Amino acid sequence: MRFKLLILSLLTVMSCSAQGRQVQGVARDNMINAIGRTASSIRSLECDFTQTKHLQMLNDNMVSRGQMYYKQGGKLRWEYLSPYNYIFVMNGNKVMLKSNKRKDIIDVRSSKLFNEIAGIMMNSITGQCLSDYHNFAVIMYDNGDEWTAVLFPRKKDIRQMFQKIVLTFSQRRAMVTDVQMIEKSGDTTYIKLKNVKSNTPVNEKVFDVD
Amino acid sequence: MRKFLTLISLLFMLSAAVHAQSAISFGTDGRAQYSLLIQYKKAGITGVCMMKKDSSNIVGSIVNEFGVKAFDFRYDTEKDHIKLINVISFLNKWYIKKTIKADWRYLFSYPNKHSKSRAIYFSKDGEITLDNIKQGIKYSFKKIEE
Repeated sequence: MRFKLLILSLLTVMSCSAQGRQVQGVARDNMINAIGRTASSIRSLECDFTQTKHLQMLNDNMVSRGQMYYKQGGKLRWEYLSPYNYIFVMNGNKVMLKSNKRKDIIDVRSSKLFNEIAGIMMNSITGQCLSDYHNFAVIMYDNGDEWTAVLFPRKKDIRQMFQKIVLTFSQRRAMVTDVQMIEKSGDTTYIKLKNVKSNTPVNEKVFDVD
Repeated sequence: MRKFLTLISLLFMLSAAVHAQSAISFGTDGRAQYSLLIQYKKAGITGVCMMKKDSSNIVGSIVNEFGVKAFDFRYDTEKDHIKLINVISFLNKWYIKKTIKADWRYLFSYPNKHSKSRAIYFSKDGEITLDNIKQGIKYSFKKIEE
């Protein structure tokens, strides 16, 4: 029994040290407020991304790359360029999904689940989901140069997809650098944002949904 | 005339050899990655299917382009048995799983299994289509070159 407790304590310490020191109280609120201030000051975002999906069943990774554009007012373009072409554009209540073989335009209001997924994507990139107390319980960690937010979904349908979502922020810029989504099955999706440009002009055409 | 008959026989043999290939091709490392389009009536969803083959099993995962899992599977090549694992809630119904299992068993056992309600087509651009004629479901696979 003592041995089990020792192992459990060691695992807890190891897991905490990987994410940094847990922050609570006023310090936690200050971190979330700093991220929130940055999020609300972001009028546009543009970056490259690398997505690494770890498939537990195959013990293998699936790596894809692409570009992301975001503009205040609910506009998001998430485009995969390699090894497949796929475009997701969200503009207000309309979403376009386009692959080589198919193009669909969906009204997010008609699909509750789709609406929630789109909301998570958008709010994760900006960091706005940290203040979404209704949908997530949030634990904050401080790791010096980086802050980590671990989000536990409160809603059952989201919990069925993601056990938790881990957002890493640059402490200096209070902006997201990477997103990790962990599923119940043990699969993880890790998205690393690179060459991030904020508040630069973005061509409105990239958000066209027709 | 004899030459002509020989030529015809050769062509038939070649054609039979082409059709004897299994539908899914795996690399030397046992991996295969395909883009996947599933169509049912006018609706359709796209995703990625990643598979690995060893001496007696094919294991695979179907995810959408964002990485959201639809389901995992394990196909026993010796017993011709398939098990679906980690099925997303909206597909986790017995009648849906029954159809998926039967379709994928047909895909992996091709060309050894005959079916009146299912067919597999190969297009010139390398696309493979599994057609569940009875239920109107089409699965189109296109190899992803990494």
